[in-house]
Amino acid sequence: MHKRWAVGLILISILTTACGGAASVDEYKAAFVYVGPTDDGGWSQAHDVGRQYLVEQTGIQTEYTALVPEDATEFRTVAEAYIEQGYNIIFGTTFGYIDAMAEMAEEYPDVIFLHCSGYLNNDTNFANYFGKMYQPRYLSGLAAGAMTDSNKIGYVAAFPIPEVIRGINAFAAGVNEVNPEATVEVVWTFTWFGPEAETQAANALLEKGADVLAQHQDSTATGLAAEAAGAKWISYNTAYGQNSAPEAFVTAPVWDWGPYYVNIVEQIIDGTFTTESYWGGMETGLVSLYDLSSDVPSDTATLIAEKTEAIIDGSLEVEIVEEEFISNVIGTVNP
Amino acid sequence: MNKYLISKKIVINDLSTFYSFLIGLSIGITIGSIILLVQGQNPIEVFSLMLRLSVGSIKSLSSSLNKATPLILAGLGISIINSVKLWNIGAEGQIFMGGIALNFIYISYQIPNSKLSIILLLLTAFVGGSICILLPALAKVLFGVNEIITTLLFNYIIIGFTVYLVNGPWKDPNSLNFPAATYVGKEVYLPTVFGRLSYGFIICILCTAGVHYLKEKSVFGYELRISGGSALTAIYAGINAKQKAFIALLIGGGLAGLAGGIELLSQTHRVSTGLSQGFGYTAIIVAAITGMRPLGIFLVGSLFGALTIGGTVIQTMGVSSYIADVIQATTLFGALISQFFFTYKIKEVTNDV
Repeated sequence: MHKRWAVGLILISILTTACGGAASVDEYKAAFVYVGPTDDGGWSQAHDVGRQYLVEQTGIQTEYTALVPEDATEFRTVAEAYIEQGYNIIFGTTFGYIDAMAEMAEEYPDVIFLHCSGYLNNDTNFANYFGKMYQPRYLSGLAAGAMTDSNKIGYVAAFPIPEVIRGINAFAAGVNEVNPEATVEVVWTFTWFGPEAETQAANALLEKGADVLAQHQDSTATGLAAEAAGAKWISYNTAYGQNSAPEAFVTAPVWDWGPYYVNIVEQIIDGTFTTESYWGGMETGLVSLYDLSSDVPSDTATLIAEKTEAIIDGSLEVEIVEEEFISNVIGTVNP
Repeated sequence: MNKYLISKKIVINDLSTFYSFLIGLSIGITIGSIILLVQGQNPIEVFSLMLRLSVGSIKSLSSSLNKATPLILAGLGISIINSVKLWNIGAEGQIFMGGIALNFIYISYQIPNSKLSIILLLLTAFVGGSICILLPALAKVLFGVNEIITTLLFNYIIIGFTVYLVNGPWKDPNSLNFPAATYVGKEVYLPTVFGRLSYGFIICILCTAGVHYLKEKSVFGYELRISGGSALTAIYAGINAKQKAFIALLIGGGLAGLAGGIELLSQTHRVSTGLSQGFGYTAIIVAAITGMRPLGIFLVGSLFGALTIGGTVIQTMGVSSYIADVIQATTLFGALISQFFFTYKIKEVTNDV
């Protein structure tokens, strides 16, 4: 009896694979795990906007969990709950999930793990993706250098990891190009999303005389501090901050994850997915500089427009420096 | 005129704390269901997933019990200290200190990677927790400084110290500047009993039995109660009350330190600021709602572990993390309220009282 069943099952599976061809979107469910809340006005919200775009474009079923700490057991609990419910694509969108995702990818070979901002992947079901955010950061540095009167620019930054350091250096290179007198001072907060710590850092920089603030943080706290002090603010991640700090807001290097998410999910469905690292630049639209506010001098705006085109057509390469700070940055990469 | 008198019941059922937690849980589920319905979600679906993924399989049950382990151990520590009528608010810091002491010994003395080392390392964690409470304990017995304030303040010191270590001397060179210490060797990971259940939970069972015996059956426990009760009685009975309080504080801190050691060797495998997810604070709640009874702490701590996992997994169904928190909080609130009715009785009294 058992043998007959087994033969039947094999026949059925052969038939289904034979008739299958390209898989359909119904066979996939995608789960997103975020470190911050989806209304942070920044990093996690940018990913969630991308998720919604993915749903609109492909019709795939998605779900998300917000505020999952960068801790292996927490990520595992959430990811396993999704796998249990039949989710087979897991997006983890913060650096600290890296070890848990690498381990789980081995444990669950049928689930595809996609990790944003990490450096690990495997040959089958674990890939990493990111964008060249340092490109628009360089452009925003041009704006910041032109906007400062005190020649002191403050930079509220999360962790001294390569991603953040190369962003600061690219920004400072932009500042230096239009204003060699100006310095960029960095304060580390050691949190991606920590409005209190971000506010403290921003206020410390303002008290030291900074009149333009930039940030590598997930919330808009720096903008609110700048707004209260009458300073200017280069936001990050999304442009939602212009509503909460309309006077301070100058521009923002922003993410547009939607097209990437659609692309990668379509690749998974039609079987062309590979675990190659993805690192999209401004030419892909994944990263860009948001519209400049009207306060930016028109010659600076023209310069930024020219440089934008140069980066997109490949004639300008923004330098990557992530071992140490360049000379006009005040601070340390080993706090 | 009717007056009401609230008095403590003389006999308290040992299981009453457990029942009250169950009542609290049903209150939490009821209120949670209403919120979920308003949000347009099906409460039956949500809660059945919660049940399935927190206790419904060996894997999930063992995850829940692993989560419960630090809560129970730190709770037992708080309970021992409370038998001399003192409060330990510093379990969070002691958990970190347990992990720090363990890692210090591990990296400084190149401990061989063997099963015996695990026992040595866990003892180190215990000692770390005791060291962490040493100053508050000395300040208490020598100068009468309020231990609630000192143990609480030590949390900030120790967590600051952890941040320093993982950003400075202990920072893992392979972590690309991400603040966390280097992983310990796989050989000193705590082994598992079955599923994911770490031997830490077995240690937890042993400690529960030990603390229960110590508090309820031993002469030492009796002396602790006398010491915490009345200074005069203690003198009369020839008990050195300060010495007993000092020992109770060190054991209590040590148990929280042990929780940190187990968490490190079984879950996080390294020192980072994520070593404790507020376990030391949650343990205070667990100890308080069980009236400091060791068996109650074990039962309620276990349920709490499941509730924590459950609160996380329901978010995967689109329940917002805020609502998951509300459900957890209403459960606690319900448990505290119902605990009141198990512990106290309300009596109507007539005028002649």
